[in-house]
Amino acid sequence: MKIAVEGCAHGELDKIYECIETLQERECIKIDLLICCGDFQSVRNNEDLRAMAVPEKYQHICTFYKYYSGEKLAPVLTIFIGGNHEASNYLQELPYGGWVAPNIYYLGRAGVVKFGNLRIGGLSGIFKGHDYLQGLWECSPYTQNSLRSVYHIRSLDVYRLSQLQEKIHVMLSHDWPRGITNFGDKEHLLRRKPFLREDVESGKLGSPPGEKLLHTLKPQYWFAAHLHCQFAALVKHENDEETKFLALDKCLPKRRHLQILDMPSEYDGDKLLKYDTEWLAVLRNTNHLLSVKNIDCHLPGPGCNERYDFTPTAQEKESVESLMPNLVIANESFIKTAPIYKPSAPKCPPRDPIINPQTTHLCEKLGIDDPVQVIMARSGRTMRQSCIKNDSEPEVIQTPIKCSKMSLPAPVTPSQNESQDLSQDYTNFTPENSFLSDATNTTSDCLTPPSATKKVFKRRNLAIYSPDQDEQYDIHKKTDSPIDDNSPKSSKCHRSNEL
Amino acid sequence: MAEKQKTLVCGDVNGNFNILFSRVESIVKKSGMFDVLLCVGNFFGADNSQLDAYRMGTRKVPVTTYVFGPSSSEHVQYYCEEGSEIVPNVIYMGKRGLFTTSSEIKIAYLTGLSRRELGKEIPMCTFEPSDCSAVRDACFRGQSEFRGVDVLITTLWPAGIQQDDLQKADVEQECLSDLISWLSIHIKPRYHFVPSTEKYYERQPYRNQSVHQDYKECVTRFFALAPVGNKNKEKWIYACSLQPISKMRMTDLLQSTTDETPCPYDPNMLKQHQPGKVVKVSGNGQFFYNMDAEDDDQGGKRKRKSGDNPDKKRREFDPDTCWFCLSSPSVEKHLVICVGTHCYLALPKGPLTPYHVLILPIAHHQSVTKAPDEVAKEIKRFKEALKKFYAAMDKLVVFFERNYRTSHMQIQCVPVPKECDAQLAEVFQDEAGINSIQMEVLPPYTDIVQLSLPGAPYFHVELPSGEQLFAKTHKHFPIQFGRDVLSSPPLLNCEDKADWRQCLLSREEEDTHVAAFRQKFRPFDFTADDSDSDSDSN
Repeated sequence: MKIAVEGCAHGELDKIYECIETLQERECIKIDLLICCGDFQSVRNNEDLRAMAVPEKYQHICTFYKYYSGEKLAPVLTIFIGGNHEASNYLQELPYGGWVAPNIYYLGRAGVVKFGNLRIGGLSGIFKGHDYLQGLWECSPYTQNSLRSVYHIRSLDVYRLSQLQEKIHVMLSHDWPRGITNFGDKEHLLRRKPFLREDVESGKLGSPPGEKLLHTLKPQYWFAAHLHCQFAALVKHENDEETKFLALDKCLPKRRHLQILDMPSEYDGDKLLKYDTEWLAVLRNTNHLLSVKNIDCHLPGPGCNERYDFTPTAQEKESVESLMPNLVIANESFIKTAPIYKPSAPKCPPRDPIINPQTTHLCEKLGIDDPVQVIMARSGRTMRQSCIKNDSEPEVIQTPIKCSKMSLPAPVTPSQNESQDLSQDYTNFTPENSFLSDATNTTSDCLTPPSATKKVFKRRNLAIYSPDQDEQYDIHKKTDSPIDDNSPKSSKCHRSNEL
Repeated sequence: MAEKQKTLVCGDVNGNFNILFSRVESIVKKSGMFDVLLCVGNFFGADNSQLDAYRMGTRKVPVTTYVFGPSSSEHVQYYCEEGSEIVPNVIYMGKRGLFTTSSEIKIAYLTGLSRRELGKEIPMCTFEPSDCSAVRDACFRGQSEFRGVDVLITTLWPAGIQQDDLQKADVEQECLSDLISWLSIHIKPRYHFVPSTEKYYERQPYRNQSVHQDYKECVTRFFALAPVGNKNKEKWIYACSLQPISKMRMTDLLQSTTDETPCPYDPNMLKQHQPGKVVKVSGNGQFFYNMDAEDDDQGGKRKRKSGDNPDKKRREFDPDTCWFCLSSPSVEKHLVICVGTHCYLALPKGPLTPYHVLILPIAHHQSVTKAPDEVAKEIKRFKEALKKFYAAMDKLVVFFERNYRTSHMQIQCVPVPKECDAQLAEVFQDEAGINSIQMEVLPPYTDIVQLSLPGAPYFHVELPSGEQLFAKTHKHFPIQFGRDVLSSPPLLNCEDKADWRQCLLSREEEDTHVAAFRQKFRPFDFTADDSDSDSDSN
């Protein structure tokens, strides 16, 4: 199985798929899966553009809309997580993951899926300490403040991921796990990106929950993006397991933005995209912890008087299997919920959130809550129906309807002894071309062919995405706006050198 | 697998045990076994002879029955110890509490009459406002996202409940209680049961409100059940099948019904941390209290306006004038007890008690939230050592930190007698209530560093139980709050010492205190044995 991993996509799907096709021809290989580590920019139309936290002059439609409208079809199955430049309104429709376009799957706020026998986990968004403990209170229409906080990682998502006990093979995050620079060539990194020095040396670079997950999940691979530079590291865990970490650049000519990963054939399986039973069971177990309030939430831990170990028991996993006998995530479940791109359409900010049947379906099946639906119900608003008529569209439910046949398992005392399910073949797994050995010389390390499209990049590239141009700068300029003063969090405490 | 709990609820039994249990038996025969029977109101009556057969075992109680506290002094004698059986399969639960059944149904109860509203105390049969907050706290404790409880049982009716859109229940004024309304609005029961002396009453369901963002919460269904076996054939037993609130989808809990009404209680009560505020004792010796929470309101607004922006007026810091930087010439070196790698212990000026000390960082850090990890780590080490030290003196310790108008972090460590333990949290909350400070109770495992933005002002207490209290401070936060609370009569009872300037010691006294502390602390002092080896590994 060959997997292509991309750093920040920034909406350049045409470019990336072109790059993959060139590579397939040149190397005579077949790529089975493309993984993108955030900043995907799944912008469907002008309304979505306004849900993206970038200054107006940089709000370009890019190329995703063609794959949404059906004008083009993604040539390879693509999985992505969210970063800090996203059509947040669209991603919020799919908190537990779903198709954003045919053959393009979003992992959700946090999520685990299986591709064949390969288990891929991901955590969307970037870490900001002041929002980390908050409930999931944001929904469109966004304020200046919530437009940004909506993509900040929340403790609930990390908590859910940390309950997993079965082996994760590939883990994705947008920002880097904190402290990862200690496991690679730090000096080389600092020579290329000297402005990171202060953060690296004070141990502030990267995401603390990412660091925690890295050391608890101990995945074989961890991919990240965000800082727009390539960086490899090898993390040796206490139990002698290893995590190969690779951060990738963004999609620009002559930048290391794509990595091919050759996984042994035992991971091939059926090469179908499937839900992960353990993950779905964690979602069910932790549904009651969901908060949509803009206050700090404390998740249960040792010393509290309720259950705090939500690692699913065998019984809990069985009941997921009985609820979802077919775990395959079929492309057919993709549904358009918003109009396709019309260049002439006005660029108005997104209005009330749209209900996405993919999410409704999954929530009804599992008996879990869609955070946005809870916000709407709690504040007495109703969600917008998708305005697109799909032929295959199932009956859309107007308001949440009581699910009568919902049966939940009896509470079970969490058991500690579920950890023995680590895949046995782990030890003899050594990919032939580890990107850690010498990333520059491996054939799979792909540079975008410097082609005639360079101009396009130059224009877009100017300021927005360069790492020293920080999102906070935009906030600082706008702190005087009246909206900000009313919003629950002040942005004035942000550290402006954070990435 | 029983994921729903089949529950029976009945009104005043008044000693009519045979009618009750034979009715339950016939229900069980018809619709299968039930898990619990809850008896709201009086279980005993003037004649309780029917109970003997159950006590002797000649008759059997068909469903596990729970009985709650008495509301008449004549019945007190029939009750047994809390949590034990009155007769086989009939359990007395006490007058207040929260219990979780095996199917995770949460049942909160506060029975008996209100001492404050009744104007007199009847032993065992009356409750205090503090009982209301105790039940509320029990419901909130350890709940990361509080949705509500499944069942609330009270003897009194919450004031305001008697009226809905269609009907008005005929209930005597003395059965209504504002305290119960306060409890109900806070703990948001899905079902609220009370006894009714005559008529059965079922109110239209009402929608609870959240304190946050005007959010909606679950719906409460209120039932007043008539006395068991009443002559008018009013409904006196209610059967329902309950799914625990924590296992339900929030979406379903928020699903509106056509007949629901807004919450019948004053929403301002949601903002009151304590039920009702005693305003004064009126002429005839009766308490009256004021339900309008205006003061709280202003406090809240004030906080929001000023609390967010700590950086605005940051005073310039001059290390030479800092009282606590060990390198500063202003530091009073004779107060220093011992010095670690990153922190040191010192005697405070004007200590509250003889062994009251401060943990201070050697370098200039404003607060725990701004201090680097190694400092935080050593603070923890000091705290552990001090806990053992005070334990050896048979005392407990309260740590508190005020990061509000301070430039150098100080963690106050105040030993308190063991007897204070039970009251500490309550006294802090009471004082906070008086000062309109919103104090949040944090579970023992939360880390304050995660909670507060570096630089945002706060007040933080760590109690001997491990429980932590946390408040974001606003403009008019009382500077001496921690000392005020600890010096108050229920705790250290030394109110004259609340202000440190009023109890300064002489230089000689300070020297003796430091020497005495140093000597006694030696066995616990880790700085002595590893001062050489503990060079920072980072």
